[in-house]
Amino acid sequence: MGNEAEIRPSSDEQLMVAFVNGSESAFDELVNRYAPKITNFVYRQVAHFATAEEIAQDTFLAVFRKKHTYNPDYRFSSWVYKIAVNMCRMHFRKLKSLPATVSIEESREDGRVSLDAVLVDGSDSPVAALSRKDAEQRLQEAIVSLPLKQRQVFTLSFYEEMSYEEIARLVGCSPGTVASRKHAAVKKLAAKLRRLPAEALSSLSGAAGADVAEA
Amino acid sequence: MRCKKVQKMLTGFLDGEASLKNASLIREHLAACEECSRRLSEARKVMHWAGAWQPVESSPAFLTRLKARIRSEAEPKTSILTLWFPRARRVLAGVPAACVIFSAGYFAAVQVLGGRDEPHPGARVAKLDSVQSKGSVAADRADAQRLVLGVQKMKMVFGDKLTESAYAQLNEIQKALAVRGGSDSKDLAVVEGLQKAELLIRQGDYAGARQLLEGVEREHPEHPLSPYVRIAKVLATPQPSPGSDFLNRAYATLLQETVGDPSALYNEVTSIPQQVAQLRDYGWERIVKSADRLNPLNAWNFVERRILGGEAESR
Repeated sequence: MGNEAEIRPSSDEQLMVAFVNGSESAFDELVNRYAPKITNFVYRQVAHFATAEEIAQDTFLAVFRKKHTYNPDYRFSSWVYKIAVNMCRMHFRKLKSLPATVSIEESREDGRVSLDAVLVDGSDSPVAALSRKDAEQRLQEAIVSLPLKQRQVFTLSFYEEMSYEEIARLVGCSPGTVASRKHAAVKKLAAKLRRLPAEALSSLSGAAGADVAEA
Repeated sequence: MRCKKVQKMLTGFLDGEASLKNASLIREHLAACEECSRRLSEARKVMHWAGAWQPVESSPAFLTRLKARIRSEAEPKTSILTLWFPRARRVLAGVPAACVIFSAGYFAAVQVLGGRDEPHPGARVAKLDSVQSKGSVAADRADAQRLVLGVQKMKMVFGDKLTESAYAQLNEIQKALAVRGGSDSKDLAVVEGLQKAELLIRQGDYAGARQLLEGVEREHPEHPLSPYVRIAKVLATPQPSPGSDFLNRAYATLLQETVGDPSALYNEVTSIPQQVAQLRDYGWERIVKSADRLNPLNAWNFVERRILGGEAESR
């Protein structure tokens, strides 16, 4: 009622300021904008959907509770990712071990990558679709097996498309360290990639990757 | 540049992080060095492979769950009603507005009752008076009963937003309507029973509320308010773990599937524990899709559409 009449501030930072000043709808909008991003970022750290959602929830709960600590001179996205990075750290500290204990199979129980879903996808032949899913599964296993710091840098850089500079600020190290962690991660992934069956990679798109598998 | 140095910088080079000077040195080297070119293409393949990890979609209920957590932590003494009301709101959103005469007053009242803060207590009372005056022109018992139901619905839909005084005022209106409704003292008895039970639920005395409601049910079976008596009984039952995302979604689905019939709704809600297993078979996707309206804003629009739509249809 009358919500339509409100003029919505557009930038994340404006929304955050509106929220600090008491607008709960600004908070809702921020959650709607960032929940998918944060959930995916965390998901790529923990490789378990339910856990990822819990951590994403904790992240936004912290945004809500600590709104007064937000400095409007900084980007909201940096702030919220920083909270998420810390939440992941806390999660792993609690686990005291990296999520080698969480199997990929288990994370599939969410029904996200079921055989059915592959088969009804329709865009590929079932065989191609299966090898594509195989490539995805092996990739998840490979990324999850990276040491936490490398995994963090790799996912922030590749999936969240952040610059080394931004990542450095986020995780609290120098851009040079980010570069070497990313490089180490790529090297480890390349080693796993070499053991990937050729058809799995080529299924990703056309001819790409075949020569790597041979190498 | 030596191969070792170039290879160390290849990832950064691909990420566009190499300085202009380094980038041109690397390009120069790559043009002449087969091994380093092979490493570069390998790194490219890794990136290509990494793109295979498809993003997941966050639950449609994400914001609603978050809000529930925020509320439950902000108000530790909150009653079960507060936790239930988002659900009740969705439930009742689906119940088509039964009474046309009530709708105008309903929305007017909602506008003043909807907010926690009370900028215009005068306006609030004035609007409530208008609801009441519509009651005074109710032609007969059936009209009065519909208004009693409407107030009941309003209490349930907006229960967690009503201040104590607004709530008390609605109770008074409801009683007045029940009396005005005519000769039948049953209406008043049911209304009073329901109101006392609501108070007990607010105070956390679920057992007492259930006992009272069962008494009302026994004495006045088949009363128009009976579905609400039964729903109140559900509200007086300790709910499953609030963290149970699956159940939340399941509820949302069930509630939406049963729109339009509080009795059916009651049956569905009470049989949920038995239905969880069935729901799993029923299809996760569909549940998630149906729960789309868990977004409060959408739910709000849904309330408006259903009730206003219902009004338009019945004209």
